Amino acid sequence: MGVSRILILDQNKLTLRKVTRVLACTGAKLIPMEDPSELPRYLDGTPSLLCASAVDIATVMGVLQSQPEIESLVWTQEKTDKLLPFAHQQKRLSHLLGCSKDSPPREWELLWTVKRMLGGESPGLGSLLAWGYTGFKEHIRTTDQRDACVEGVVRFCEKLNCPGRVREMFGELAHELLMNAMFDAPVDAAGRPKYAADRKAHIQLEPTEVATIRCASDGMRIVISVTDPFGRLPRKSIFSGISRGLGGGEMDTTNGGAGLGMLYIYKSAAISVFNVVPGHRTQVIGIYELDTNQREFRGLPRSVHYFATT
Amino acid sequence: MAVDNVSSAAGAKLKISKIVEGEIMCLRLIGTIDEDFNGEEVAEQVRGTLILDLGEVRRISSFGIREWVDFIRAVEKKAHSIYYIECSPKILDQFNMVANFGGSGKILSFYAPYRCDYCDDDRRRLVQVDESYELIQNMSLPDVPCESCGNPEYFDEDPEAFFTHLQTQEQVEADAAVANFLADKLDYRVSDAARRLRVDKMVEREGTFIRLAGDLDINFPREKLAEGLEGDVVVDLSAVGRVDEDGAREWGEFVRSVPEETAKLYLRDCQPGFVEKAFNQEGLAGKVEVVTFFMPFKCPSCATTAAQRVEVAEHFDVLKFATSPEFECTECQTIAPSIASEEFLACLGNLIRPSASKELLEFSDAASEKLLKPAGGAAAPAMAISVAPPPAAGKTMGLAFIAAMLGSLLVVGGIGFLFYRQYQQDKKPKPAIFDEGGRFKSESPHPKPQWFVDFQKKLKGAKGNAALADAAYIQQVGSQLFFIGYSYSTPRKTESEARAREAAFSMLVQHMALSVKDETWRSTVVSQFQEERSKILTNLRAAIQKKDGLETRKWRDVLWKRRQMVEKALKTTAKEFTKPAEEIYVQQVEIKDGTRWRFWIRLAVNKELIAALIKQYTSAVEVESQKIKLIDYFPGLAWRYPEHYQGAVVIEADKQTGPWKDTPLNMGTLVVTCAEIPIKDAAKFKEVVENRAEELKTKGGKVSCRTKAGADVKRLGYQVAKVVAPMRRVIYRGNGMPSGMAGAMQFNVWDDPTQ
Repeated sequence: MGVSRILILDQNKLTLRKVTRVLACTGAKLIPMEDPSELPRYLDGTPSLLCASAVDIATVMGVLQSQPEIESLVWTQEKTDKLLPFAHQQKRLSHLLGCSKDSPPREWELLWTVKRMLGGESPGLGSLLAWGYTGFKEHIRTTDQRDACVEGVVRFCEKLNCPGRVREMFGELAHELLMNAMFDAPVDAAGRPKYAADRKAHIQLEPTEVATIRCASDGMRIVISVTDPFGRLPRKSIFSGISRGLGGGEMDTTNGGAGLGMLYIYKSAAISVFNVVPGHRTQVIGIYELDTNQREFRGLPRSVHYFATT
Repeated sequence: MAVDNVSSAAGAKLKISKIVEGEIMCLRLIGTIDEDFNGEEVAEQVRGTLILDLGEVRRISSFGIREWVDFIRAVEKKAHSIYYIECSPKILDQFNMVANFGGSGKILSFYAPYRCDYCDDDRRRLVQVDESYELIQNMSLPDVPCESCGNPEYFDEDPEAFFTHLQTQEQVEADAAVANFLADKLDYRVSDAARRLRVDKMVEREGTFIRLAGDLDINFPREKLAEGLEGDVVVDLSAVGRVDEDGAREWGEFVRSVPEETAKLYLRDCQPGFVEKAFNQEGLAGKVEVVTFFMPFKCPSCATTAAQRVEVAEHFDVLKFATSPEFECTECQTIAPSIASEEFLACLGNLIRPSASKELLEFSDAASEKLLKPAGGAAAPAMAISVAPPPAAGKTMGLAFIAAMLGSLLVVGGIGFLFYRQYQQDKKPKPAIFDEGGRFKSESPHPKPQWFVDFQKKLKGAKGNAALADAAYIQQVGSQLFFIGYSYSTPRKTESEARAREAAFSMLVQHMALSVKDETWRSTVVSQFQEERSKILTNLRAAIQKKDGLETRKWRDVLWKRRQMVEKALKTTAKEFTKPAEEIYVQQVEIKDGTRWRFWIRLAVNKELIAALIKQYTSAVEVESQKIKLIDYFPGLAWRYPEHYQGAVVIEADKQTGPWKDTPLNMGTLVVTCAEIPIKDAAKFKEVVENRAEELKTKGGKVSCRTKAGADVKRLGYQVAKVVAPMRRVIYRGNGMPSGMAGAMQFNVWDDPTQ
C-alpha cells in the first residue's frame, strides 16, 4: 500500500489519545486531530490512512471521494448496521470497528488491522489470541466430515465452558462457513460453480478443493476460521449481503443459502474478518469474546474487516 | 431429516414427532434445521390446524431457513391455521430476522433466555404471549430469583431485538379446540380463559346429551349439572382438558349424586387424562358405563402420536384384563399396541360392559355433531376405530380367530361364512349382503378359485406337518411361482387385505431364503432369523394349545415382525418385487358382532426375478484392506432385527491377521453404521470403512462401527496408530511489529505455515 502516515480523527479527546498511543506501535507517522476542520490541511496527496470515529462519517466519505490516495478505517459505538451502506458504496472503507458503548476500539484489534493495512503480512490466526491458546485444525472433504466437524466445534466450546447458546451459535457458524467453502466456492476450470446447484447433495471435494477449518481459543476469545482454495468471495457480497439481510422484508431465496449466510456470520461473531486472495484463497474468520453475555453481545456493535491481497 | 420421527433416519440431525387428533396436528421438531430438512415433504402430511412445537430446535442454518420458508408456504395452503408454541430463542431470532419466517402463524409461547451471573448458569423460561402481552409490548421481562442461589436472574437478550416480531403480532388466543389439545395432549399450559369448563346440554326424547369442554377442576359445577337429570344421560368428554385432583373428586361427587334409579350415565370419548383420574371406584361407581374412550398410541414406524378411540363394547373382553387392543396407525397403517401407562391400563379393569342401545348411541352422535357445528369446528377427536383385536365372542370364536391367523399351522375353518367370490386385483369385491339373522341373501357370482381350493386341500393334508404346510403356500406353474398369504378375520377390510399381502410376501422371502444353496450364507444368514421365526410361531402354537390367554400378544408379535420384515423387503429389493401381479379371494362373514373380512392373496413372481434377487442378496463384497467379506442385508433378518432394514452382514472375516482380529466382529455380525454413517449395504460399508481407514492413516484414530449380533448391540472398532512425524524445526514469524521489532516477540503464532 505504501502508506506511512496515519490521520486520526476523533472528537473525543480520551479516545483520540488512546488510539494515538496504540497506533504509535505501527511505526507510522501519526497526525491526531479532534476537529474535522483541520483535516483538509493534511490532504496533500500523500498516501495516508484515515482512522476516524463514525461520528465523522460524512467527513470521511467526503475525503475518500476526493482523495484517491486515502484508505480508511472507522470505529463506532453505535450499531455497525448504519455504516454498512457506506462501506458498500465506498471500496476504500473496508474496516468497521465496533466498540462497546463509550469505549475506544479494542486495542489489539485496532493495531492488528492497521498493521495489516500498512502492508504487514497476514499474521495467522494465533495473532488474534493470547499466547498459549489451544485449538484444532481439520481438512474437510465430505459432507459427513462437515457434520462431524460442526459437532467437534460444539464440543470444543463445551470444553471451554461456553454457555449453551454460544456453543450452538458457533456450531451454526461453523456449518455456515463450511457450507460456503464447500458448496459455493468450488468452481470448475471454466469458472462454473461445481456444487452450488444442490446444497442437499452429499459431496466429496477433490483434494485441490478441500476446505480447512481452524477453531481456537485463549479462554477470553474464541476464533473460528474457514479457508477455501478459490478466493471467489467478492467484496460486494459481504457488505451488500449483510445490509440486505438486515433490511428484513421477504427473504430472497434465489441464491443457495437464501442470501442469509453473510448475515449469519455478521450476527454470530463480534468481529468478522474476510481475507481474500482472488483466485487463490478465501478465509473467513469469526471472533467471539467469551466475557460478553448474550444481552451485551446482541447490542454490541460488530466489527467487519475485508482484506483483499494479490 | 427424522427418534421417533415422521421423516427421519437413525442419527438424523432433526427429529420430528407428530401428534394428531382429529383436525389438529402437532409437529414437534428437535435438533437442527439445515439443508437436510425437506420442508415440502414434511408439509405433505399437514392438515387442519397445525401446531409447531419448536422448543427444542437448537440450530438453524441459512439454507435451513430457505427450506423452512418453503415448508411454511406449503403448509399455509393446507392448514386452516398455524400456531407456534414454545419457540426457542433461536427460532425467535429467525422470526425477527426473516420477515416471512412464520407465514400467517401466531406465536402462542416462547422461551425467554435468562442468566444468573452468580451461578454462571443459563436457563430459559416459558412465556405465554397472551398472559405477558403487556410485558412484551413494553419490552421488559422482569428479573426472577435464581433457582439455585436466589440472586436475580436477568433476561439475557437485547429486548429491542428479541421482541421485534412479537411486537407486531396482535394479541392472540388459541381457540378452544386447540387449547384443549394443548392442555390434554401436550400437557401444555394455556390461558385460563380458554380452559374454563363449559357445559353444553341437549335434551331430546331419546335422552340427555351433555358436553363438557375445558379443564375439570374445583370449579366443576357438579350440583347444577346433576340437578334434574333423568333417563339416559350421555356425557361427552372429548373436549375435557386437564383433570386435577379436585376435579376428579368433584366428578366422583357428581356421579354419586346422580340417583341410579332415575338416571343412567354413559360416558363417551373420555380423554386419557380423564381415564387416569376418573376411571376408578369413585369416578365410575360401578354404575357409569363408558361407551368410548381414547388411548394414547405412538406408531413405532412413523412416530405419529395420537389418541385412538376405543369402543368398549367391542373390546371389552380385552380391556377387562387391563390390556390394550392393537391399533392401526392412521398415518401409515402400522399395527402396534398402545403406549398407555400401567396405571392407565389398570384403570380399565373398572369398566363395566356397556349396554347402551343403538338408538341412544345414534342420538349421542347426532347431538355431538349438532352441538359442535355452531362452534365452528371445535371438532371432537375424529380418530377412526382402528384396532385389531381377537373376536369378542367367547373362547370358541377366539380359537377360530387365532386358528385362522396361523397360516401354516391350522386348517382354515370354524367360522361359517356365507358368501365369497374371487376377483382380480383391479376389480373390487362386491360386498355380500346378509340379513339380520346372519343368513346369506345375495347370490355368489363365482365359485371358489382353483388355486384356493388346492391350497386348502394341501394345507389340510399337511396335518400339522410344518414342512408340508409351508409347501402348501407355494405353487408353481411354468416359470411362475405363486405365494399365498391370508389374513385373519377383521372388521376392517383394508387391514385384512394388507395382512394377507404381507403374509404372501413373507412366504416369498422365506422361499428365497430356503432356495440359497451356499452353505456359508445359510449358516450365517438363514440360521439367524429362521430360529427366531420358528420360535415365534412355536410360541403362538403353544399359546393356542394351552388356551392361556396369551394368544393375542403372541399373534401381535408375529404380525409386528412379519410386517417389519415385509417392509424391509420392499425397501431393499427391485421394483418388480414390490408390485408383483396378484389374485385376491375375499370372504365377507357376518357374525354376532358384525361384519368380518378375510383375504387370501396369491402373488405371482417370475422364477428369473427370484433368481436375480437371490443373486443380489448372496453376492459378497470383499473389503481387501479390512480382510472381510460382507453381503447386503437380507429382508428375512427383520424377524431377528425388526428395527433395521439395511446394513451389511459379515460373511467372512480373517480373524488371524486382519485389522478386526481382536474384535468380536464375526461371521453373521450385522453392521449398521460405520464412522457414524448409516450403512445401506455391503458396498456402502466398503466405501465408508476404506475412506475412514485412509483418513486415519497418518493422524490415527478409531475405525468404529455399530453392530448387532443376536441380542447384542455393540460398538466395535480398532485403533489406527498415529504416524509420528519426525521433529521439525518450527520457524516462528513475527507478529507484525514494525521492522526492527519483527521476530523480537515470538508469540501468537499459528503453527501452520500456510496460515
